[in-house]
Amino acid sequence: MNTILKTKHLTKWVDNSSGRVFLLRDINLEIKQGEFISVMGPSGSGKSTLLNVLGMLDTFNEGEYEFIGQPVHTLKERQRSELHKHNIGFIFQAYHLIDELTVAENIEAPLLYHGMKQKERQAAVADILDRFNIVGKKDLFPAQLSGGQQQLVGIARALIVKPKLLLADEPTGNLNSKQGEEIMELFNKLNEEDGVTIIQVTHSEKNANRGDRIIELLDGRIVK
Amino acid sequence: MFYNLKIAIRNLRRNGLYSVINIIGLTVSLATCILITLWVYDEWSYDRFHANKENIYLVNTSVSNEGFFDHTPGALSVYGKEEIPVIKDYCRISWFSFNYLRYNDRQVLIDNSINRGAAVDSSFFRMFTFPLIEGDIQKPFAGDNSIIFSESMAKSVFGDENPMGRAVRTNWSDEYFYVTGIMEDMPKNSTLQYDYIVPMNFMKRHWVSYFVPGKTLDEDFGEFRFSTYLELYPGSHTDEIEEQIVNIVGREMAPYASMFGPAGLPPFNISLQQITDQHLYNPDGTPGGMAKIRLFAVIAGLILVIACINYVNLVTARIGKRSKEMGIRKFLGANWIKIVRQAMQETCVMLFISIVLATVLIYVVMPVYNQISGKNMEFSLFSFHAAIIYGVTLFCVLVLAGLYPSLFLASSNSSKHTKNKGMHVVFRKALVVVQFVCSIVLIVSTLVITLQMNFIRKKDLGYDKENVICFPAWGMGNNKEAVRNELQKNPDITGVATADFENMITHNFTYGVTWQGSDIATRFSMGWFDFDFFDVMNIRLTDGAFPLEASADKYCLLNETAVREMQLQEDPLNQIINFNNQSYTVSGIVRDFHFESLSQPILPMILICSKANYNNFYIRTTTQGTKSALASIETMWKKYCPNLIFSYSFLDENFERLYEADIQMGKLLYIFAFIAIMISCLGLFGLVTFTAETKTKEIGIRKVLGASVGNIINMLSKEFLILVGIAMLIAFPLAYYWLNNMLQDYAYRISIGWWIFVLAGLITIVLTLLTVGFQALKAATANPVKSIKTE
Repeated sequence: MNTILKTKHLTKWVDNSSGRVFLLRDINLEIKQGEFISVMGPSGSGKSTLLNVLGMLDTFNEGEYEFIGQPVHTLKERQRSELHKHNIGFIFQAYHLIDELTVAENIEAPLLYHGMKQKERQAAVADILDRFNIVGKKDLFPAQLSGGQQQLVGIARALIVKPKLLLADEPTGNLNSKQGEEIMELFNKLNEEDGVTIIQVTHSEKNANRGDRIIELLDGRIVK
Repeated sequence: MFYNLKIAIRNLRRNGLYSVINIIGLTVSLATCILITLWVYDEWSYDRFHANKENIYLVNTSVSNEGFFDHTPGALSVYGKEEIPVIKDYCRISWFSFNYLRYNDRQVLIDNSINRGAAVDSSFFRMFTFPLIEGDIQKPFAGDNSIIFSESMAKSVFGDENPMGRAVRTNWSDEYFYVTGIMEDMPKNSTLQYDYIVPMNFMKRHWVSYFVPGKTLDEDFGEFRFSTYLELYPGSHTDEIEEQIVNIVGREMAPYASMFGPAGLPPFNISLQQITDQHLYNPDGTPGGMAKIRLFAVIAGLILVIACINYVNLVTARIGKRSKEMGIRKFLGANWIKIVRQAMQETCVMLFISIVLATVLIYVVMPVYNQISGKNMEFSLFSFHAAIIYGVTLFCVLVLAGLYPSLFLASSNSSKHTKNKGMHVVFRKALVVVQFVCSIVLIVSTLVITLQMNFIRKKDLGYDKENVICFPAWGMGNNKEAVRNELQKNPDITGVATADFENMITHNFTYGVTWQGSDIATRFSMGWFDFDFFDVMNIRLTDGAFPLEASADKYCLLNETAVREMQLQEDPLNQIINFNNQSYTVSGIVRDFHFESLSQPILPMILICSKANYNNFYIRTTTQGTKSALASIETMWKKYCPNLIFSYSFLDENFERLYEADIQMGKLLYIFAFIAIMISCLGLFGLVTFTAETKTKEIGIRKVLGASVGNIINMLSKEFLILVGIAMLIAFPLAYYWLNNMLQDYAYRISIGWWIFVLAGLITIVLTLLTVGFQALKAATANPVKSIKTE
């Protein structure tokens, strides 16, 4: 199987008054296409930071990061942004939907930045609404949905650009167990049927075990 | 009370940026409004200090339906008072000047451009409120050779001596004049401005009637030389009086109708103008100064409105942040009156700070403002006017900018808030559109007025006004050849000519011109020149030739307009025209040139060339040679006019001076427009800062979804650009309509091209983008990871 991303000695730190604080330290990772990875570790161990760096939302200070064969550490901001927007989907614990937009508009939002025509966008949105069984909710605003439904919309939004990699930061953290189960079912389905590579950050042992392997972080280092 | 005050000040400090924006906006607009109001008040106050102002009227006349002007013949008021019972009194005023005064051994030269003189009827001090420090208001002149000085002029002539009863010798046939009164200096806001006054009886004694030889000044209907003021009994109908005067003039002129050719007497009209309207309206009743007052009042209003809108917008925009506090207060038992009071108190604190700063600002800029506006206005914080201005402004700001946001705050509670949000956003947007409309109208106006001013300044006048020095001939007139020869020795002087024109302007005209086929009395301006004049001034002939010197008195020239208006059937050359009981043959046609203000079209003109001596010299110099030319002229002046102040002027500067008021207005407009636009931008900056602040999270999410920096800036600016677009649609027709109206005042005007609107639109868009862009860029480049965490 092809390698989707690979890091070598990836390190990130911030300097504050008490000296240098390492957020990530010497991370060496190789993830193959189609893998379902769970990242675990206590609060402050660097899980979210790792996810943000892999998703190119954040930068790192040292080391190398190769994404689908491209050396991210040498790319310019604009090239990184292109790489990110065509290949990576994000899912957040707090859903991060735009309050002023309807469900359909929220899902459509990423396509606006792909230069897609209106007709194609509408078709794509209709498609995914159908697939997620939320056609009836398309004109509602996020505030009118339950947490599980909002996260469903968040996942739909992440998937509409057909990403190679799905990054999920505690996707079930704000949900009750039943809703959480449903979301995890969906992840497995996406991973197995559509071959989407998934990296999820989670606190739950049970959810973590749904993945192919678990990476454990402590103080910015991979311990397992 | 004190508790609220404490909270209010704390709130202002906490919202630093918004407080600063509001205070700067309010300060600048308050100061500007007060400065404009001072200007407007100063203009409006002209001639209002006369106790009798309700009943004093200026007589304006019009001949041949050619527009009113404020000159009348001397007999008009004398006959009028005799026959029309509602006329209580009259006062005629004629310019009158001495060139020097001698007192004992001292000689004082008078510069008549600074110290002006007049001959007036003895009713002068009764009718007008010009208090006498010494002398008798009822009987100010003891005899024909009386003179009354202003206080400051008396001081410069007599020093510390008491001038009353002293004799001064004048250049009027060396006659003596006796001081019979001292008047206070005339106030600056008086249209009448004189420093010395002699009785009309003196002028009467020396009167020579050119129109009907033998007539006295009181009987002469021919020469339009006097400004005539009538005092009417209260409640008189001016239109009846106007009609009666017209009838009198018609009756008295009837015997001389034949002098005007076959058409007979030209139509004659009178219009009485109240003295308080004299400064603000043209003699024909159209608003001259009044238009400016209205313009400036509107600008002051706009600036105030723009600042108030800033205030309202920033306060309501931030309501979301305050509604929680208000909700808790209501929960704790505050009723809406208390909440409104607290919000109003915040407004008051802000206003108080703004007023203090505005007052400081006014004192600081006052000298510059006076210089630019050419006035001598004073601002005193404790004067009655300042109190009124502050009071009115305060009231407006409080009501407009304070009450609405306060009520808004009071009525908002968290559940209602979300529902009403949409409506208030629309309201806010509407206010921003109003602001932009104001700004765009001001930008377009500034552009158009600047273009018009430049157009006038650069307009081809038909002659070359650069490098020409003008000065009166006086004693040099009789020694023209000698002066000319002497001046021409200076290589920097390239031409010497004389004319009866003063500074290329003539007020000499006649209706008594006839020619073959003439049917209606036409007004012809008259000009007399020597043979060098056209060469010196670069005025060209379009046809024919100058007459020969020997037979020059039989020939005349016409300007192109005259040829057009005379509607001659045949070649105008060699046509015979008659005036002043003489016949002249047209020898040539002169290209049209301007001899009046450019607000007037070129009128028909008869030009007569001769070797005679005229009153004004025109000297053309080389570009670098002005200084040496002036030295030569001064030498001549000292030789031939030792008793006169050396006075000269540059033709191009005289020309500029004609438009001084317009240029000053243009400059003020520039400044005020700039301020208005800056205040709008300030408000816009506040709004976009706020928008960016509230959208931090959304921007972060969008960046995660793949939005580029450009996408984000676009998103933030688009909202405002749409508002700009709507504002343009409203502002352009508005600006076009009123500027087109304004330009009608100019005989020579630019047309308002579409590109002016394009330019104004671009300026607005660029200004908007600059204002919005900075904050938008800041928001767009923020790290999305951090933005998303903001919760």
